[in-house]
Amino acid sequence: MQTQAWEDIVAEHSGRVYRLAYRLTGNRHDAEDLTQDVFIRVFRSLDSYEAGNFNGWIHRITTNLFLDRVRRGARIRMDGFAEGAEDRLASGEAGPAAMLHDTEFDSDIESALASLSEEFRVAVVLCDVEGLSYEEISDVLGVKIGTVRSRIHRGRTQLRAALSHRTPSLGRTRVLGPSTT
Amino acid sequence: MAHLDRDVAAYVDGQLSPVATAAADAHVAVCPRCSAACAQQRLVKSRVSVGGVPAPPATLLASLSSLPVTVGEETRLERLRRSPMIGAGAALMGASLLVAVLAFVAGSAEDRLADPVDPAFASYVDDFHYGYGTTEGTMTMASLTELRDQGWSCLESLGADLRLVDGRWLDRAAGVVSLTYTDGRERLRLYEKVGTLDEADLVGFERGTVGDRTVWIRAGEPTVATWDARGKVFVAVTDVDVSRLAAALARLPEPREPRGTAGRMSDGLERMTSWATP
Repeated sequence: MQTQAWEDIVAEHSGRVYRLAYRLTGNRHDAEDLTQDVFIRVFRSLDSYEAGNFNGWIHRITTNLFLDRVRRGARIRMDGFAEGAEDRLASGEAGPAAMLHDTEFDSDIESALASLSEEFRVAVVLCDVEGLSYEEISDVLGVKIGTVRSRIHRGRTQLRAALSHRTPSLGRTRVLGPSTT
Repeated sequence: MAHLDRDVAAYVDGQLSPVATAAADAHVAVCPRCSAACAQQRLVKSRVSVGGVPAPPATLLASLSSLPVTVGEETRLERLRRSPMIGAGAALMGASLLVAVLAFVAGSAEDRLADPVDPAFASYVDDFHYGYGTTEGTMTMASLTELRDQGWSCLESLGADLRLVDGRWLDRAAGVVSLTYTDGRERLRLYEKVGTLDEADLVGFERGTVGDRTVWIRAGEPTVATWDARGKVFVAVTDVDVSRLAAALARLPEPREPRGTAGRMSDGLERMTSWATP
């Protein structure tokens, strides 16, 4: 395909895919890896893509790849640590830009989302971050609407419980600095 | 209406049917418990959705943009591999299996003059990076005379500025010759071996044109180009740019046209026909 056309696709969709990947994985490294995998899959499948809902297609690829990773989760993390651990640590160094980047986010929400089971997290993220309808989520995940409804309800209930332990007390100020958690 | 209970999320998300929504509206207005449950879910929803949106790092964007180069090579190669097989399939339908096999064997008669070679690209790249002569001082011309005596045409230069500075056996037992050309800064190392290129085992290469030569190429650091000509397989491993690589290739023997399975069967059929009607 033409380079320009591909760059247009990257420009248009990378932000959304990365945001979704970030919310699903909860950290920059895995979000970057997942985003990369998504675009490799998109690139390889462009020929077989039939005109339709491109965003839905990308959501489906992202969530499926994420759930695939989760199923192989323990092994991936072991491998990731064994191979190139230094690189990860090096790139994980919180330089000023990275700290600014990370502290822009609600770390309580990140932690609360991370505490959810992956199935609940995916449903909640697709609904609340991506703004998908229950019908669209059911389509992306290949489950019934009733299941989507139940997962979102239970996911949010668990999120609320997790957040209630983390409610910032009065006078606690967010500052740019090392995480205290 | 009963309490919303498990419908709280769907109500907050506006995913209930119009009738159910109207009923829920009426209920929430008079039920403190459901009203509080909805407020809590809305709060959670807003915190999840409002949370900062990270922008993808520039390094990631650059990597995504270059996917057509990094992934595209193997994807296009897979396609190239598939297409001759389609041709072979059509030939199979026209000829009986026996004839096809005979044709395949007969078609290979010419190739038997030289054994198929599956170049050890990884070890060539290793040699390029870490082998002898990575600094000019260690390069020697010791084996050049011997190689020339044995019929290896070791050109003194490839293009305007790449000069031969070293020639030797990379692997005498395997019959691999290595020639190093450099301008003092960038290098092109040429590996030669008697045989024909085994194209079926080329992984990561794509058929490409460099200058006026069509070769198998794998872009990267270093770039690797391979082809066969006059009974020898050539592998060029280099960090020079495309225009200089083109100039270098133009000096070397012209690549043989690849035939693939379908071409080979067609050659064989032609040869068999000539046997039948001399």
